[in-house]
Amino acid sequence: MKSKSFLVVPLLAILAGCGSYSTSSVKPATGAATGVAAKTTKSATDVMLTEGDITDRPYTVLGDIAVTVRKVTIFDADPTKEKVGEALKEKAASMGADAVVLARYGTVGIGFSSWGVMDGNGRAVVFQGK
Amino acid sequence: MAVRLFSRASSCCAALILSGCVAPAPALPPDTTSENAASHAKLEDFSPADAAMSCSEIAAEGVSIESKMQADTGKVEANRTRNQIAGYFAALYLVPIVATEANSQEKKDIAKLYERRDVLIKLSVVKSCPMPVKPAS
Repeated sequence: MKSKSFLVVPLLAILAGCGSYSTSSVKPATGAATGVAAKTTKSATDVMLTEGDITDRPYTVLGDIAVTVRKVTIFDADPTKEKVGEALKEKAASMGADAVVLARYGTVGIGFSSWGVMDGNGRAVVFQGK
Repeated sequence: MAVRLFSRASSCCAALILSGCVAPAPALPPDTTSENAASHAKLEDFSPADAAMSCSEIAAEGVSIESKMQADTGKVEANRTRNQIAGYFAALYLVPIVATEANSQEKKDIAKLYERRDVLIKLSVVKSCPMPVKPAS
């Protein structure tokens, strides 16, 4: 009985296949005079993501987003920049943002609650005069 | 009882020490480019050496920063398997923690590279240069 559970438990962990999950938070952007009210939620695929800034379209800031992507089990793949980028886009989309500028990433490592954790920050913005 | 207590204590210590293995994403710079920014960046805000940089010099340094970031990130990721195995055993026995590689220098370097890139991004906005980073996706 004991030997069976010795095999079954790791197998279930491997087959769980949950991969990863993310948590997020928003705070007012430093240096922004006033916050802008969030608009209706949109699809994450419609949100632009850049590690730089956007200079060809005026925008206002909705807030600074912080996300953390964690893998579920030690057997799952590590969080990547792409996954963190997707989490940033999803959070921005839920705020009604058009883009995430100044996206940046932490390095993957073992966290307090997961064998693989990666952080990301970005600024959610909405374009003016659409 | 004492063994169980020691095991729990060592697991907690291991988790606390290993939680330091994650480098958080660097903080965002103050907003100086949006319509609702409290203030906007001016050329006088930069050091004389930075203010004198041309668009091509900014772009070249942006490329250099990107390759250094990739190299540092690669070094951190190369030690992931080793750290996970050490972390697994550290949760059982405290001693293997010494087998982990924190890559502290690389993580500090990455944070500094992000800071420098923020300066270049701000400078690009002020000088109307192309962004010294990969295009948006």
